[in-house]
Amino acid sequence: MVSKNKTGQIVLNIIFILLTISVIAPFLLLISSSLSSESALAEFGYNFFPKDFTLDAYTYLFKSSMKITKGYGITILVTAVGTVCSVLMTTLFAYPLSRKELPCRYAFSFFVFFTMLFNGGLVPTYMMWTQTFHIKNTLLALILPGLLLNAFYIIMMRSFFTANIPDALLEAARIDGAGEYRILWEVVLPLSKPMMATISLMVGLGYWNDWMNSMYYITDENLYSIQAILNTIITNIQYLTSGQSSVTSGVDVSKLPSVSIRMAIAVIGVLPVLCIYPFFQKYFVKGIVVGGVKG
Amino acid sequence: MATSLAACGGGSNDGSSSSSGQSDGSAASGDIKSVNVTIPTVYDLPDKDMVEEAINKITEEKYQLHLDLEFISTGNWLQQSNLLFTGDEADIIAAFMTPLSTYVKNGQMTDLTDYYANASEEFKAVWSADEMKGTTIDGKIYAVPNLRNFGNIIGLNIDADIAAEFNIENGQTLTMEDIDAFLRAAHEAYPDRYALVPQGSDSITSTWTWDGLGDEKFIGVLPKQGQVTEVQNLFDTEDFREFCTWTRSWYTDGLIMQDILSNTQPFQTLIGNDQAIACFDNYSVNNVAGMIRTVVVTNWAQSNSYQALCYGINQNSKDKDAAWKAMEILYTDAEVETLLTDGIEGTHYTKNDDGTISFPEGKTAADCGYGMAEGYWITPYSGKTLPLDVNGPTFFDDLLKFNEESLKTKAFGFAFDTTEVTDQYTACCNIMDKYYKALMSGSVDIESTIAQANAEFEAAGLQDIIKAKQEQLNAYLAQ
Repeated sequence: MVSKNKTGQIVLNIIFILLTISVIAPFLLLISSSLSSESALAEFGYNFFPKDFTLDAYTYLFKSSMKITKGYGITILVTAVGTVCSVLMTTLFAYPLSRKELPCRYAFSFFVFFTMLFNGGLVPTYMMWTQTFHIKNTLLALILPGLLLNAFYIIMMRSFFTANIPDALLEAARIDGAGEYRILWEVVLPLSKPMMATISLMVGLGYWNDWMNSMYYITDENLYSIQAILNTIITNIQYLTSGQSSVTSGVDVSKLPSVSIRMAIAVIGVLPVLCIYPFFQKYFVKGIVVGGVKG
Repeated sequence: MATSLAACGGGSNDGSSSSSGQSDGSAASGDIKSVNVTIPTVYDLPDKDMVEEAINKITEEKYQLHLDLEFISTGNWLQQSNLLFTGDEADIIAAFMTPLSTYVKNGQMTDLTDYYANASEEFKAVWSADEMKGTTIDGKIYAVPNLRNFGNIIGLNIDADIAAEFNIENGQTLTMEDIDAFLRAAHEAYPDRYALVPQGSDSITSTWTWDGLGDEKFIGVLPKQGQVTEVQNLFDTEDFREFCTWTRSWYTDGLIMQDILSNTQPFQTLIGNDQAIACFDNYSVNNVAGMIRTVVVTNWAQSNSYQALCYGINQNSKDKDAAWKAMEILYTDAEVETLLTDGIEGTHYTKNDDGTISFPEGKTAADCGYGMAEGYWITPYSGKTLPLDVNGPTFFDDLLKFNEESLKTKAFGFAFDTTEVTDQYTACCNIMDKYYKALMSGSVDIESTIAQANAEFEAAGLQDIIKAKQEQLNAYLAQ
């Protein structure tokens, strides 16, 4: 019995070790190739240990765009402000929707659902933000469009509240003399930590990875987020090496570290998230399970 | 937090007309008008403001104009330029990546015919009325070309050392038979290298002897360098079949990499790292390091060559007269041109004794702060600027001469309007995407694949497109 259990354990462990390797190996490959020279990559292909070790790709990145550090700053600021605002607004919208007493509850819900199915499309959206709200080339352009309020998160949070906060609890709080705000802050929110963490992480990742807003609404490169800078560098290199332009003379394309640079860009983009993720992980899993199964 | 950000937003937007504080004083005098100029770039230009300031010192004094420069990198160009046309932010803007004819069809570009008619003699000396036909659509001028090579020589680039070994000289004319013999011999001598690699990552050559008539997908072409006027299905032309027959035989004999359709390496890397011997390339008067160039197809210009990158005025521009005035300055004032293209002397380049310029010691276009000199083919007009050292002192004269000597297709200046056959055109584009690169690279059997593709073309309505193209072309030629 015990021995059987042991074999089971071993088999399971092996399976998970293999799974882990299959996740980690590409990362190692990524990091190693970002540290290899372009010609070594061309000659030997990808290797787990950098052949012909060089920091060329990183030097190129930081040289070609002196704004990488600045971009990091912008992204961190936008992610922090955006996530806080977004979670706050999502909660303030989702919580009332979860309460049966809310007048016109279905109309509001429909309002949210509707945006999940239909939207105005890029050009009208762009015209609204730039010509009515004038957010072009401001930090607001990185925070407001598209990312601030996500219908899916509102629904998810509403389901969480409906399923996990018993009416009796709210009633008890009310009998004890708590007002609506106090109920939300002191009773509901402390019980919703996993959900808040999950939404924060997802919204935060959304802000961190966003480059579309920079592409549409920002032309002043001083306001580019890190992802937008990296994306610009990579598309410029792609353009130069594609041979599409009949006129890219003068440019010595062979000196542009195109493959290793792509790897370095991926490393730079993913590293901070990789560092933060472990701290959120425990809430993340819990939140999804709770919000998903019972909702 | 939010309010302070919003305030900041309002400020920078209102201030777009006088983007930097320094111009406020003069703007208050009321005479100086502001014009936005939107230009693509392949490099980050952190010193843009410095250059803009230097340019405005000249233009404000001399012409009472303030130029508000905006650079958008090529990777973002397609989206951002399309969005810019929805408002009045851009005045002068490049027609690039999106065909000029599309902008005109959408009513997004201003008709410049009258402006050109009344332009200064100096401006007309830069672009003659004849050359303006290259950016004329339906008899009206909609844009001004920029200076590039409009024609191309197409030839084989060969690793310099190997070429020397086989006694092939720079600029030598080769027939396809010569190339065949050379590639086979070279492959014999260097079996561990690819004999022929693609020009762009997965296409063997971007152009050859057929003219797509303003249509980059080549649905209905004029073969023989555009010297005939009968529109044909590309796959039925002799030119195409001949080219594919050669590549097919090279592919089956292992002279071309077998996974060509998934290649991502540029030829410069492959040949530069001794992994390949040769590739097809199109060029004008410029050289490429470590390789020699040969001639297979002589210098010729396709019908849309002027339109591939040109500068027009946004239909929504608030002050088109001022915009045109700025346009003339960009093409005629040597000082402004040089600042815009090369940057500031001493900071972004140093002058050499022979009249060329070099990037500052140890710097390249990517990190000198303003590397536009390498993008001389992007800025409105670089003919009066200083050439880069790699291009040689007579570069711009050579370029102008090269353009003069280009054999122009008979449909020169014609651009196909796809509106009446939109559905068929979209369907045919998909079919072309499926077969074109594969056939060109020699990786599939020619006869059976062409038969299959033609059957699909037939069903998708290729004949309608060819008929429409022919009718439009006849009307154009009759003018």
